[in-house]
Amino acid sequence: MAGRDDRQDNVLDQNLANLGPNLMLPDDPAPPQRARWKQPPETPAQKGLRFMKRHKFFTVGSAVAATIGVTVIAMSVSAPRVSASEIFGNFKQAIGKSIQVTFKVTEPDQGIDVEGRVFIRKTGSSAEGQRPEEIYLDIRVRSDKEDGDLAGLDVHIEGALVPDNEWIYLKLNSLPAKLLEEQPMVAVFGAMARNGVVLKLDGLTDELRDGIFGMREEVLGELEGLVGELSEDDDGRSGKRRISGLQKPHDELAQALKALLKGKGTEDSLNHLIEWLEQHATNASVKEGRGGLYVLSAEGFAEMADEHGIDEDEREILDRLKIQIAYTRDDGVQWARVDIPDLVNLKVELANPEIDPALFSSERYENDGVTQVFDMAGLMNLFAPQSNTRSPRDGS
Amino acid sequence: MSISASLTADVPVETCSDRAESRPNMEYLFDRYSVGIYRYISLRVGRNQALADELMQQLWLQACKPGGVVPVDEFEFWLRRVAQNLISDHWRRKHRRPAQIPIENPAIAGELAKRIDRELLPAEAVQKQELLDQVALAVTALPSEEQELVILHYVQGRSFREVGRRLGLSERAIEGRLYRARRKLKELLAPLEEAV
Repeated sequence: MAGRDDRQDNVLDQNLANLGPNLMLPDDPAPPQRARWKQPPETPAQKGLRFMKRHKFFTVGSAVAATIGVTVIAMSVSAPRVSASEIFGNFKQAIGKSIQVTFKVTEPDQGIDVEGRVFIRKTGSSAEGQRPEEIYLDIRVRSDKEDGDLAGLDVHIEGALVPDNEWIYLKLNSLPAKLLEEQPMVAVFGAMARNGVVLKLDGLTDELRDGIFGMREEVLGELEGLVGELSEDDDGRSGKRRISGLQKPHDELAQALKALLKGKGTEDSLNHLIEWLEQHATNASVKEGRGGLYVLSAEGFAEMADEHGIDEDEREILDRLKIQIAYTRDDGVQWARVDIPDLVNLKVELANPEIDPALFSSERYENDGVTQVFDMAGLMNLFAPQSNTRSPRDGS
Repeated sequence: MSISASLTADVPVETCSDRAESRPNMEYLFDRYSVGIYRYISLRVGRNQALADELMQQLWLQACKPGGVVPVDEFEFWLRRVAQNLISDHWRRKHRRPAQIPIENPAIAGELAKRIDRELLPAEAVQKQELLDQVALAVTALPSEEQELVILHYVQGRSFREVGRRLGLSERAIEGRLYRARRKLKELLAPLEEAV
């Protein structure tokens, strides 16, 4: 018996020696990795913050894009009483209308609240060099912590992108003491902007203006972030694209969403989107309310994470994500809400939001006798007179 | 990782860190076994490093929980059982099947596992992914000390002398321990073999 055991052991020994070099075992953890095992795990808030940072949730444009993107996702697969083509037909109309977004993002660790609203008013303009929409935003960023790097932060930002009247209003009610200590120049600017300043952007080149106030690019950028890492090796004009880390279906999804946001969605791109969505969304239900209003509730978006390489902890954020969309057959999508409890609360109103046109003008600040007004094009001329400005009307 | 160091087996390890003096003992043992357990977890969560790290973090927290007392010689077994539960809980929470290395054709893996101590496997058989995956799962399920020996000797191809020098043990001791490791490995491969 022992002889047989020994023989078997010898055979096993030789076989192991032969297959051992082919074994694929996990890499040994590096010391910093091992040290992290003993650190306290991230709180849900920290995970959420990291998720939001990664997906640019803090930017307003991103919030709009995220909502629209997720709205499409939820709508397309989860409303059993309407056909996909009807939904998409409506969606295309909806994004051609004006949109009002209100949002609140909380970061509990630093005690920061970002609260605000964004209006996108469609103008229908197709003139070259003119945007087909006017955008207004109003954001307040505050920290209620008494200590920490951002303690004391209270900033109000408003602005509009309107043809021939593009401006940003900045009011620094208070800045973090730590920042003022470390950056004395910020203190100088902070004192200047305590009563509010208006930066007039008319006359800047598109590039520079978008750099300062790049709402549209943020929207597109976030949309790309939602569907994967899509990057272009040019500005999209040549049609050459460099796409990294994505499988083909995701490329198509990215293109479809991007096209939709640009208002250039085709039947094909919508079909790609529908196919992808049908495979991934889960836990959605539609309840019929009064007046023919259907409220769709969608949860369990963690499945979305699977094929996008999203981390496990970020998957938990998606797990908590809840989306509601109100829809009527007569008037289409009324509103959409995105909630991640304690982190993000966002509402998009699509159906004829009442937007006060006066908000898009900076006149109320220019004439209040308190706010200083800076013509950015004039200032830029001092530094680069030939390259950084354009006529507000030349469309170049 | 040094496996030659040993603690007195009859001194219980307080998994609780309430008493500061007990923590170094627990931390020492955790460090000692953590790499082997990390490999175990990693293969069973589809080599997802972020997830494996998170489960290791949870494992550490479990070890730090107040109230537990585990004998030193059972500490690794206890850690592995907790790790196993963490993995199971994870998949249960996600309502998903474990994403451990997929054995594409369990029949092939089982057949080869059955033959692994009966005949010298041909070159193409020892490169079969099904067998390699199954052996990798079995190796990472070994206790840390034996796991380390198997990796040093069979995966890294080190001689008894080199392994012995590295671990501060005689060649004869290494030979004896490897013999025991092979027996355990064979036991770990047996369930698959029986399933054929």
